[in-house]
Amino acid sequence: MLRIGVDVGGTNTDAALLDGDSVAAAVKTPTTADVTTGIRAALAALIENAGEQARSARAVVIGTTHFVNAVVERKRLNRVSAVRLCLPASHALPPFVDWPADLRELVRQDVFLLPGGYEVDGREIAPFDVRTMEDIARRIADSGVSAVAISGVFSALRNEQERRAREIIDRFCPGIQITLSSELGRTGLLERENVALLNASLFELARKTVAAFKDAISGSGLDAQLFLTQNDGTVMRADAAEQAPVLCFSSGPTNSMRGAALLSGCSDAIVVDVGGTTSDIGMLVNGFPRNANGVVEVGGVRTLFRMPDVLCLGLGGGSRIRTDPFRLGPDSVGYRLIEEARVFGGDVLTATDLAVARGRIAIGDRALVADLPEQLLAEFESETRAMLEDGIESMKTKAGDIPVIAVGGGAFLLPDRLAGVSEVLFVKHHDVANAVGAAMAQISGEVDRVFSGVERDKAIHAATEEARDRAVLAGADPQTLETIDVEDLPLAYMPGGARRVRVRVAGELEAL
Amino acid sequence: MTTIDAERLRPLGMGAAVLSAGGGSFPYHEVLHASRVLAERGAVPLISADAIADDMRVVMVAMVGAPLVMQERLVDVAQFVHATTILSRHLGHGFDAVMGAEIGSLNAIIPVLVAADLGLPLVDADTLGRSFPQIDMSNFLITGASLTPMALADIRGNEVVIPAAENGPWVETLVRAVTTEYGSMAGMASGATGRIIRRHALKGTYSRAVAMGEVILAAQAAHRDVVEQLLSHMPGVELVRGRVRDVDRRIEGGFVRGEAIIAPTDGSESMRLMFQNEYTVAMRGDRLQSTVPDLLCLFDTVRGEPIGTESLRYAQQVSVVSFPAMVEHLTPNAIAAVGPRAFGYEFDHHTPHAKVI
Repeated sequence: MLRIGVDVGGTNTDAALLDGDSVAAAVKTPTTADVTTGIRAALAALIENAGEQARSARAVVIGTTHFVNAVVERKRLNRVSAVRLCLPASHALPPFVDWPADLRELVRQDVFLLPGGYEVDGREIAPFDVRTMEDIARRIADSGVSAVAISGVFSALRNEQERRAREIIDRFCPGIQITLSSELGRTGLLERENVALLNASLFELARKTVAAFKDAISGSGLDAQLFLTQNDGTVMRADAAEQAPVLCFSSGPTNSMRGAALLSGCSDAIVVDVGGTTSDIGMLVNGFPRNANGVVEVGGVRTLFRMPDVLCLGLGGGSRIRTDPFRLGPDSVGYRLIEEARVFGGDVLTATDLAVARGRIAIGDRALVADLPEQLLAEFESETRAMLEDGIESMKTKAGDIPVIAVGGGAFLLPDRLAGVSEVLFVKHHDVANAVGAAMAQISGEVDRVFSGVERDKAIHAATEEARDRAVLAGADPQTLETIDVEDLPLAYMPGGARRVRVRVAGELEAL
Repeated sequence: MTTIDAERLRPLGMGAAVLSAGGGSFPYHEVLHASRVLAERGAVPLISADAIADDMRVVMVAMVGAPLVMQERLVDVAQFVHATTILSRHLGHGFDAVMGAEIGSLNAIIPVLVAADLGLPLVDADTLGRSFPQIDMSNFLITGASLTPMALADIRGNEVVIPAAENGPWVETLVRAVTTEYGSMAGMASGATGRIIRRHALKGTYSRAVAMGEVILAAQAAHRDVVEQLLSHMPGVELVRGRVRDVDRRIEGGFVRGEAIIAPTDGSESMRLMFQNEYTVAMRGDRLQSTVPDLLCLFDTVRGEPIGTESLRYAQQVSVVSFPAMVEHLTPNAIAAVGPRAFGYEFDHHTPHAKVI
């Protein structure tokens, strides 16, 4: 099946046409202020490059930083009311409590706490109170707010109460967008609730963005279904993405890592994605980015959900080099590289200039950097090596040498050999690895649950079955599902040998 | 230091994470709650345990239960005030001051919350001096004082008082049973007079935690090496610096037991760091380096923060530090209760620190 992947980055919008596992065509175009125009231009360039075959693609997968940027920039967000099922517990730290003031001001509408939630062993803290919930739903309807986030104590364990609350709000407030914390986040009430609140605040933007993306596809003469890439390296149907924009937050590094896996044929490796300003280092396990285990801050808000574990280093093709004393970055000329770098006739010394001087890559005019002293080149080489070796070591999950896949526009900055690395793989299409990764279009399902009084194997089996069901519901072909990740953590001070089990499965998109 | 004010909460939490010896991490939610309560109620006076009158009535409070449950239920001062009220009703008198039962991690902050809520001063002391996994490791029980009567509160109207218990291990057994039914999280309160506290409490532990936390936060802000800074301010030994090479965890009797292997940066022999909720023993090959009751701590040298056993991860860059045990933990009775044999090891206390006379 032909699939098109598009990755919208800060500087470039890349597009790739994938035929099975091979890259049929790839293009790089500038990102525009109006993201959709850029996507349309990228699709047009891809169709021109690939010819008529591109028109038979049935899936267009877009990776975008649009949603996370909205949170970081505090723009284009809608107001949200919070409903928390918890009383008589968990009321001292109410919803939005630890948000940065400016963001809270922008997003918070009303906050409601009502009886409910569960104990760690699954008992109810308090029974669901229909009358109170109906009163709250009436007040939500009166306020005219467009989105609601519902959370409940231990809802990652049992979410019946969250679902009952959704039914009632749905009934009293037709057309309102409702996010359940249990469907997005992990154990950790405040952080899971934050994920739900952020998700709800992106509702209007998600709806507009998805509509604009669909227009861009049909406007390009394509008859293809829209998918968005998500944080774990798989994709969601457009309607699912519209409901869960937070799951698109970290699509950039994730897409590059997935693309690196395909382009190199290597599914367990470190990926170094060198951009203009920074390098992202991540670990591929079974072909997917390893997830971060702990709290990840997004725009100053603490969150706990599916996010890739990525280490960001201040090393990019545009990193400025200062001499006397030698210093690498951390600032960069970014997209102005092609005007400001020495090899392009500019007067700023950049990492790219040193790579050209050392003969690592032939771009611009090498004569313009012929005067750089050997000593400087050696200092640059050793500084880059130290940074990368240290970063790579930190991201490993077990001892021993491991392959590194170099991708991104600045991949040439990687040395051929590094300590702790079995080989550095430079691959074809490395500069559009992100778009290739998007086009891979796999579908996943995840479960994160606490099991009490259940044997380890049975707990993992039950979690796996449910993760498979979720993946199939999301559009995966059940025949192709594979388990990507199993984590199993025994819990202290809990009766019955309680353990927390997290399982993730992924498979091919079911034929459209 | 005479108060715990809003500015001292973060240092207190950070120092308490060190004193938790791997049993916990920075108590984010509790510090957040306390900063809101202190903003409303003002700073909490901190009084020296040596300066309190014989007949002063002090309530000691703590959270008992599973850290995971705290992440969902979130801390609420009302539960601990409720425990205090139950105890007060049982004893037939109120209290003049609040003290911590355990200075480790979030349990350092809960007494501050209760003191602020009740408008009482906080005694600069606790009964453990650090974190240990069991209540019967409290210095009160080691030295023959009692933690009963003890009150246990949940978030509802449920109230349990343990008027008396046969011995320390029975306190532990009864408390665990009630806590499980409460949803693996209980507010605990027990009382003592000023005279008992002067004799049996571990003193100055709040000041110690704040001082440790201030050094850590200052070092972080100045991008200086946190371990170096700590060791230039207080006695202690860096046992090893390197990377985590293996982590093995298993559940035994409700506790998470396991060990981490740390490969030193200098290429020398690896260190085994064992834990039972808290770090207990550090050894190289078959040579002991430091054992409980020495305070064993592990710092993430990239972030400059103490890390708990639950957050240990392959390839972390870490430093293992041993701080000397408090003198109270070195008596024969204390060594029997909190030394290596109390944790099931077949060897005696081993320490890199000079003997304290």
